[in-house]
Amino acid sequence: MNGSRLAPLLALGTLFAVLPLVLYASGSGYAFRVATTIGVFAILTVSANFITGTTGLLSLGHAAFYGIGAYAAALSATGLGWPFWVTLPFAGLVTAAIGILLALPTMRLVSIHFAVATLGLGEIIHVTLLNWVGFTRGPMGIPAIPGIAIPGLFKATDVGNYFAVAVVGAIAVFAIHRLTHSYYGNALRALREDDQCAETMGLDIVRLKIEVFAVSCFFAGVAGALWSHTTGYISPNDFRFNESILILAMIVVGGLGSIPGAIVGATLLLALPEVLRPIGDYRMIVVGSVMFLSILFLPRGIFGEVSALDLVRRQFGAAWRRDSRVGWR
Amino acid sequence: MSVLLEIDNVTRRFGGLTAVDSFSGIVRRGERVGLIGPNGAGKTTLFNLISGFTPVTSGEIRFDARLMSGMKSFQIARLGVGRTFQNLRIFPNMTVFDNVSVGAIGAAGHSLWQALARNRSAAEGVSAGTWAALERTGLTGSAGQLAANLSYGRRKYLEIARALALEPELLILDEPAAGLNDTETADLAGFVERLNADGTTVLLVEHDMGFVMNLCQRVMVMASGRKIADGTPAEIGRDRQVLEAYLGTEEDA
Amino acid sequence: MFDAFFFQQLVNGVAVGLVYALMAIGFTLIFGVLNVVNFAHGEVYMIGAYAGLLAITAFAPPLFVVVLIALAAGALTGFGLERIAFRPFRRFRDEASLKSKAMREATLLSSLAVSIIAREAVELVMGSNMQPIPQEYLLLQPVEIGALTFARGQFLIFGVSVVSLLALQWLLNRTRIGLSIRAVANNPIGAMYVGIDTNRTIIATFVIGSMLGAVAGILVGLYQGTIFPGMGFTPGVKAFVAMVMGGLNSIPGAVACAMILGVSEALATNFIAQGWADLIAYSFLVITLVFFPTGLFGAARERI
Repeated sequence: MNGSRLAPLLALGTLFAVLPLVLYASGSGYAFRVATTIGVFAILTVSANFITGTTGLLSLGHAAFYGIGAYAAALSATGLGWPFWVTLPFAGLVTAAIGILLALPTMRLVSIHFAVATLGLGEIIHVTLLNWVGFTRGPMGIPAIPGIAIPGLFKATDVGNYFAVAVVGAIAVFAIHRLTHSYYGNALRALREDDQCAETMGLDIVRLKIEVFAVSCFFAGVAGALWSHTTGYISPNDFRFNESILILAMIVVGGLGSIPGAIVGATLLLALPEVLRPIGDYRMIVVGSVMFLSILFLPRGIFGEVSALDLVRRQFGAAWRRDSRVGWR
Repeated sequence: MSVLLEIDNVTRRFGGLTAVDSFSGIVRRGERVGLIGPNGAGKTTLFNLISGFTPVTSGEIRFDARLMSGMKSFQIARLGVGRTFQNLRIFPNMTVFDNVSVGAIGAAGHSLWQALARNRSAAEGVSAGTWAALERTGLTGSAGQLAANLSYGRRKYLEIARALALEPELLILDEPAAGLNDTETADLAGFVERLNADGTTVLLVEHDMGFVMNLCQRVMVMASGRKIADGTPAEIGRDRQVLEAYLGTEEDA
Repeated sequence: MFDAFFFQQLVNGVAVGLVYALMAIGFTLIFGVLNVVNFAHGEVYMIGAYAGLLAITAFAPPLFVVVLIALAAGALTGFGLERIAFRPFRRFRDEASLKSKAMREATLLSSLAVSIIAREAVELVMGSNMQPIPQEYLLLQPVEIGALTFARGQFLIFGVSVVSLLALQWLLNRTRIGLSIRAVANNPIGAMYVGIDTNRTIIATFVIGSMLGAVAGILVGLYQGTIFPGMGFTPGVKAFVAMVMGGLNSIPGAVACAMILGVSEALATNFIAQGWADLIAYSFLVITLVFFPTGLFGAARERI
């Protein structure tokens, strides 16, 4: 099936060859910085989409996990002197661990109540980051975070940052894609559709929820670590409810349950204000409006899972044969 | 025939309301057993108790001599109890194939690491189980269709297929004939008979008397949470208490 | 021995609690009738405060009129909110759709979006800084009763809150619109079948709930002296916590829990710094959701 091999190769080619050349041609590091920001948020959005879009658990506190990862990386880099290739996985693991711990009590909640609980948890994390001055330096933030560099090999640069984010992004998308396009993904979607019924069909939904939280928080944490290292300064303000909403908007616009959708959503909502620089102040209004309009007119988003399926089925009509790889798409 | 399901003096209270009251009954391996009773008798509650949807207040339910009441519903499913629902709970935004595969995944277990590693044999196991269930219910042709687009009758078979993918020893059907016309009902009866002949024990709730009496070897009757009769269809048809429960006594008429 | 300081704190807590209560009622009304969370409620509070401020700077009316203007602003906002963020999603009339998960999530997101737009718009027009309320209107003049000192603002809060609560009780129990609200909250389809205009009822609910929220906003604004565009978020969340603790569908429950929340926060500042006090509300929220899924006073429910 060469068709299915082509798409990922094209994507990788664009990410690692075409796009950098285009950005380079623009002549300044600024373009790379924008692309890096989009990349970080894309990873964040894909991780949020995994828990909200695919599994149907509406999380309103995702930015807080992003923050935990950022702080874990920043503190370990500045305080313990760890290099980025240690802080990144470390941040991921710490965030996953805290995510599971915090999520455990909420496992039995559904829908609105779960959403609100995540809102509460997100705020608790934010308040903690803000007030535990002894540990996090509170509102002063953490400055002078070392960049993506290996002493003696290469220094931190805009281009280097871009490639670091691109590599991590590719890994994240790969992992989450594997999970969603498998029978495990089916189990998650069943959980989304009707979790009580899914449990009656033999799915251990508590375990699934914990696993999804772990994966989602891991990548959110890694995204946070990337943010720390590529921007050099973080403060609790970067990780408030507003950011959670921004992420949510990206998923909604791009389409719940869809990985390309999440990436497109992130790109749109970040690139738009950047491209139209003069209206940078209006970013949140744009975010809010876009989110509202897309819920109203495109309830499934641009690439929402079901409409994407429709597309696929129309293309490959009779391909649902016995020996086709129906389970692994 | 050995006893597969044993409901032992089970009571379920919701605050002041006693939905199921000291109900005892058995289902033997290979049997086709029906559960009937007027509306509000507690039949669906009993089903919910068996499948673990809701906990018992007192009493025990045993499956194959193992204590089953108190287990979570996914554990009960994996033990070998599959069920369908009165008000059709399919997964509308997934394809027919994916719907049924959920049952197969339930039986096989789901593993994060296997999915990441693209474990071939696990996937093939699920796939095979899913196709088998689809074949048994005649849905192979619709495998790629979105479940929401199926006709009502086919959705009923979809639910059964999903439960069958669990490869259950006991299949519990909650009003399977509801909303079906005479032909469809007759087809369903034949289908259930074949399932049973292939080795699946069946326990079902139905209001269609003809369906139950023709299909089931034994019938339990429930009223106001209690069992009021238990016997062959012929015996039940003559039982005075049953007639009273359904038709009222002489004075009411 | 009568601890004056403690009592003082209690009074402060009660005042704060009453404000939360006013907002919580608005939440509960809307949730009861539509089964959806109105994320924009905090912004209604904020708009009430700004409306009052604008009135004061524009033509310096007496206090009583300022409150009325806030009420009017609240009513208008509630009406607009229902129209924009909630009405378009009630496309279908059947019960399954009305209560469906998808619809609830859609309205959650749409009200969220609208709240963001509203907040940002106000920020753009009025600036994101704290706006002070002119001296004459500040209600910080102390009133001494025995060993205790109250601020005039607190009396106003007590007064207006109590009047509002009583008015609401009267409205719900003794008027036709109140009856229809209770009917729709109980059974929307049934209410429709007996001829109640559910649309009008829903609009009325939004208007009433928002009026209460706006009043809460202006009261707090007058009492604290400054207002800013983001002021609605935290009280909004706390009011929501009160609603959840109270059992989601119970107005008395929401009011009681709002008071508990307010008093807890006031007393907690004895032990912990101000910044951490916000944690109390959020922790209450999570604890309630996890251990008391039916609320502290709510009716029993199998699954939430």
